[in-house]
Amino acid sequence: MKQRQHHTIGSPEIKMEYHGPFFIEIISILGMQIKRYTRPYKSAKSKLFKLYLELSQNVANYSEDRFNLYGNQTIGIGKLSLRETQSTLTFSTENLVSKTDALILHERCKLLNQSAPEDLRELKREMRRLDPGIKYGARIGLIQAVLISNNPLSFSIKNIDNKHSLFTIAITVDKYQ
Amino acid sequence: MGESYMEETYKFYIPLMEWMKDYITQVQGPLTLNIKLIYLNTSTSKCLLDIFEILKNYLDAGGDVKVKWYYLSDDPDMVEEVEDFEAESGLDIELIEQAE
Repeated sequence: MKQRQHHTIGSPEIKMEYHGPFFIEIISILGMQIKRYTRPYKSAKSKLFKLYLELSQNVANYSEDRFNLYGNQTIGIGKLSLRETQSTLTFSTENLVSKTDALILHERCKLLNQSAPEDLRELKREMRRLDPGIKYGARIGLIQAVLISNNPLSFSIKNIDNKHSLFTIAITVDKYQ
Repeated sequence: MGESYMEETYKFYIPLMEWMKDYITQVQGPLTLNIKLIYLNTSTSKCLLDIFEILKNYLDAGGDVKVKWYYLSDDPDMVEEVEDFEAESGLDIELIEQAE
């Protein structure tokens, strides 16, 4: 994990970066740091912690780049960063996805950004009724992230090779909302 | 207040569900579920719905069931989350606001 304090004029300040396997222990330790850092933002701090967990668990569960643990267990590898401006905090993650999943994710993110909050809640309830193991069918975490942040998802998909793409997603919260 | 985002969620919640089923079958006494979570991941929410189903069945069979959900005053999103659980489970969930 890198913690930086420098600031470039006109660009968001990077408060935290992590690149590697998203072990549950790492998620927990970074989560404590995030709680500490966001403590001054009374109304936004719980949103920020929840968004952090939604995004980091997406990488752990769905990244195509896997770190072997033991037995058949693996954990996703990816990158997480937290950026700050005067009025906002933005979490972003990057991880490899298959080309097929990239198309599905692209459509899903577009749909979520176009949906009203009540429709998102209904979609979440509907997805929760399904088997939680269904990959990308569910993706309740993304629905939850849009609901929590009150802001649209920012996302991009970059071609890596014949089989994989790099999926980047960012979610912004207004610090003083 | 706690958080629930462990890797193998069911390994944690299944013993609790088994205990509840045994209690309902053998003791048939009142049951109050107190939940104090500031964050729960997707698989936890699925486990909670399974727990609520057990409680709803017990309630419908005449059992004395209460569910209380404690949430922090600066977390209004949790109120919506609990409302969704109520809608999905058919249970009344008492919301109890707590100062941090």
